[in-house]
Amino acid sequence: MSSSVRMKGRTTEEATKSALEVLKAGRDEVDVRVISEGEQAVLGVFGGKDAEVEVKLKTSVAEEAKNVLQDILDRAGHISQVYVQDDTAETASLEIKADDPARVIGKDGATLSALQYLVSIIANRGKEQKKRVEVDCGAYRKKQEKRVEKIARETAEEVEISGKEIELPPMSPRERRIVHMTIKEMQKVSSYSVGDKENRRVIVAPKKS
Amino acid sequence: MKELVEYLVRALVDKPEQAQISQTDGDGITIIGIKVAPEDTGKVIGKEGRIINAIRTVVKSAGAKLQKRVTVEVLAEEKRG
Repeated sequence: MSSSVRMKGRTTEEATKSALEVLKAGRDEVDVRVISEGEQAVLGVFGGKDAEVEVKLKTSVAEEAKNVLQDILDRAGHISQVYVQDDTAETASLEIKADDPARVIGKDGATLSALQYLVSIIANRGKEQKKRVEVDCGAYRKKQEKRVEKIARETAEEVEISGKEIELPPMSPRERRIVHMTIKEMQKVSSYSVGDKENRRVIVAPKKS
Repeated sequence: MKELVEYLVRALVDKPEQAQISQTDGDGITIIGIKVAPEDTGKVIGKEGRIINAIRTVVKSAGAKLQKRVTVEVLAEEKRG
């Protein structure tokens, strides 16, 4: 099924109307992009140019993200199937089932992060309502989240007992966020980040009372 | 491999009809060249190269399966005097 058509007509209005007939869609179900405004004929006879529009069925960010991710994985030679796992007002979560998850995930999740970044840009293009796109494979990120959360809790406990701050190894923005969120719930410790880019890391410190 | 880069680039830029992707196979290494409209260059490179690096990471994961080394380069449009 085609989800977008290009159509010519005397005016953009007319072109849009015939495109809607082809798509069997209502005006509020599509996005219209004007390719050419067209020109009115002189005296209604001489010259004049048709208007042209591209009419595309509206898709949600989640649906678009799923299609884009599947297209990328297919072209990268990954045998896989993409599912929309969750779709809330802020976040669309996608899960990949793959024959070779390790290769889709990459070293320390690098490939997964790259896929997520690209799909997020492409799926949000031209959308009024932008959404965070999360990409996971074999629940790798979910497990990672749990691991980081555990490290944060154990570190907090140590800081509480010793009264001395502890510096964690460099982490990705996502991992640091998890640490900060975990520490935020605690009474006696606080956290902050130091360092630049690749080297940015979290320090867990006793709360000053 | 070229198809993968072509798909990504066309999806990222404003003028997909002006995007050109080339592939050069050398000794154990494949170079994929990207040429886009000058105003689209930022759309494939990104802030601090984030987008082009993400493209490279995805391409590398595809190349690993074929046991091939692949690099992706953005070929700059010659400046017109």
